[in-house]
Amino acid sequence: MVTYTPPRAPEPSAPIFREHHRGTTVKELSLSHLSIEVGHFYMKDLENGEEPILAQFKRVKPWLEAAKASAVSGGSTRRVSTCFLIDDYFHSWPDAPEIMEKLLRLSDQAGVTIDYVARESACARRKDGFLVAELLAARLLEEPEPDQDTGGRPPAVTSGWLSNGKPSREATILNAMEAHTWEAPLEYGRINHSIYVDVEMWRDGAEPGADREDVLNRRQYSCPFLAAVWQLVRLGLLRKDGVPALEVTDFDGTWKSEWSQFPDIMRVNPNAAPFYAYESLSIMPQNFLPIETAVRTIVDHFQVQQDVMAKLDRRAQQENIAVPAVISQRMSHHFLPGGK
Amino acid sequence: MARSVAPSPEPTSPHKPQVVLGAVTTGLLNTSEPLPLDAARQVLALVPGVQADWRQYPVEQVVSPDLFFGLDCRLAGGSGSQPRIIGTARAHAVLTAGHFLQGSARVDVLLGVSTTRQPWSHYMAHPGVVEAINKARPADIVTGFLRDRPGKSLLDLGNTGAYVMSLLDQVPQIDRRARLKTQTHRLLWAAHVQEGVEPDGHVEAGDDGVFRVQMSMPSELLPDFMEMCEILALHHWLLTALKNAFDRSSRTGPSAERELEAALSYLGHVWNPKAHLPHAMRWFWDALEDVAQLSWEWQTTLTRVRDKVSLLTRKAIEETLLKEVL
Repeated sequence: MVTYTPPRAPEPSAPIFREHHRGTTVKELSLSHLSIEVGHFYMKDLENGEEPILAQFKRVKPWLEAAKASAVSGGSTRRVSTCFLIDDYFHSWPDAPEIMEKLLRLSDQAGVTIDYVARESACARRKDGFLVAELLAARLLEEPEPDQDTGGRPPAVTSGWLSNGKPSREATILNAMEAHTWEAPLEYGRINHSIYVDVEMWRDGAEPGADREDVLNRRQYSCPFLAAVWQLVRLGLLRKDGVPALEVTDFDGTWKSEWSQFPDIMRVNPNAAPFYAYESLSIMPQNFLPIETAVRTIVDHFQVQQDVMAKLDRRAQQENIAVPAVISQRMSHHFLPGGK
Repeated sequence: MARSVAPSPEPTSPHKPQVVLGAVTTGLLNTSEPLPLDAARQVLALVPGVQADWRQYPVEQVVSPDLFFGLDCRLAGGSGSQPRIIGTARAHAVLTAGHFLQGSARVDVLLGVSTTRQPWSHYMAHPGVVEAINKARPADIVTGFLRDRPGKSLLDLGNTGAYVMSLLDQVPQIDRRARLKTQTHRLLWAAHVQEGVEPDGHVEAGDDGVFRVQMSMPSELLPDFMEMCEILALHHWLLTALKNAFDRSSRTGPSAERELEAALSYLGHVWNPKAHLPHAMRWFWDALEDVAQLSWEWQTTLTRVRDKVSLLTRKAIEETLLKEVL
C-alpha cells in the first residue's frame, strides 16, 4: 500500500529583512510606590516668619506617617518619597538660599524629611528653556458634546479654558413680555445633578496676530495648570522623547542665589526613594481645595501617551500592584483643617 | 451627596471590542517635489514630545503618533436602529514616498458595557475606544457603517482622517505647488472581531468610488488588517489619479503633455502594494488581485500614458521638422 504524506508546511521563519524605526522609545523609570507632597506655601508665606511654616509641617507630620503606612506595595518593602514644590512662578524674591535653608531646617525640626524640591516655574518652562507646559496643553482633549461630535472636531484646546460641560446661557430677547431666557449649565458626565467646572488654564498677553513663539513667551499659566503638570510629572506620565519632562538632579551642596538657576527637580536627601511613583498624595492646607479640583479636571482631560502608560502598567503588574487606569484615581489629597 | 460613593478603581485591561471601524483618507501632499525623509519626520511629529515612526525600504514611509478625537454620536445600525456611542477615535497620518498623504482613523466599539455616559476620565483611560450605550448587534454595526452615508450626528471617520491631513497644510516644509491635479479619496473598513475564527472578508467598490472592506478576524490581526487597508486605499488612489490624468489629457488639448508629464513624474515610480504589506494579509491581497487585478490595470494605464507621451513627442518633432521644411 502506498501512502502519501503531504509535505510539512514550512514553519514561519523570522523575516529576512526587518526595518521599522520607532520615533520615540519610552524610558523605563525607577519608581516609588507613593510620592507624597508634604505641604504647600505661597511665596509670601515663605518670606514671612518661621512660626507658620513650622506649624504647617507639624500638622503634616502625623498624616505623612499614616500615608507612608498606607502605600500599596504589593507585599515588598514600601518605597515612598517626599517632595515639595516651591511657589516661584508668580512671585519670586531674590533670597532663595535663605528660604531654602529655612524651609529644610523647619521641616526637619517638625520631623518631616523632604527628599525632593521642585520649582513651580519649571512646570511652565524648564531651566534649559523648553516649554513643559505646552506638552500638557497639546495633550488635552475637550469633552464631546452629547450626540453632536461625529469625529470632525479639532481636538486641540485653544481658548485657554477647559470645562467638563456646557455653561449656562442667558439670552436677552427684544420682547417686553419675555425679558430673558435662561438655560442651565450642564456637566456632561454628571450623575443626576451637574457640577459644572470651567478652569482657566492660561491667559495670553500677546497682541492678536502675534506669531506662535511670541504668544507662548507671553502666556501666563494658571496655578492649577502648573500643578497638573506637577502631578503628571510625579506619576511619570508626562514625557518628552520618552524621558520624563522634568528630570531629577542631585543637590550639589550650595543654593544658587536666583530661583531660575535651580535645577528643575533637586534631590536634597541622598538616601531618598525614587522621585517618580505609581501613585501620588498631596498634603496641603484646605484652602487649596478649589485649585486641586481644577487640577483634577485638567488631568481628567489629559491624553496620556499610550506606550508610557503600558510600560508603567506592566511594571506595576510585575510588582503585584493594581494601578487604576484612570489617572486622577492615582492621585489623592489630604487637606489639613484650619487656615494655612 | 449622591456622588460621594468612591468608585472602585477601574481595571487596567479593557474589554475586547466586538467591532472595529475605520476610514482611510488619501490625497497628494500639496508640494511640488516629494518631501525628503528628514523633513517628513519633522512635519509628522504631530504630537509634541513624540517623534514619528519611519522606514526607508523599499519605499520611504513616515507614520505620525496617534491623535485622539472625542466622540459622542450615533452609528448607523443596519437594521434602522442608531446606537449612541461615546469615547474617542484614534487617527494618524501616513506619508508614503514623501508625497502621498493619508489620514487613517479608527474606533474600537465596545457593546453592552454601559447604558449611560460615564465621566470623561473613564473614556480617556481607554483611548481609541467607544462604548455603545444602546443594544446593537455587531453584524448590524458593520453593515450600517459601510452602507450608510454619513448623516447628521452619524459617526464620520473620513472627516477625522481629513482633519489629520489638514494639519500638514500650513507647514513651512511644503511649497503648496503640486503640479498634479488629484482628488482626495476615502476607503471605509469594518472588522467583526471574533476570536478563533479564520479571517474572511471582501472588498466592495461602490458607485461613489469608495472601496469598502469588511472582514471577520481574531483581534490579533487588527493592526495588520488596518495597515492592509491603508495600502489598498493608497493604491486605489494612485490608480484613480493616473487614470484621471490620462482622461484629462484627452480633453485638454495643448496642455495634455503637461498633465502627462506631471502624472509620470509624480506617480510613475510608486506602485508597490507589497512593499509594506503585512505577511498575515498576503492571502487577502493575492485573492483580491486575482479578481480586481489592480496591478494589471495600473500597468496597462501606465503603458497607455507612456505611449501617449511618445506619440505626442513624435508629433511635436514632426511639426517642428515640417515648419523647418516650409
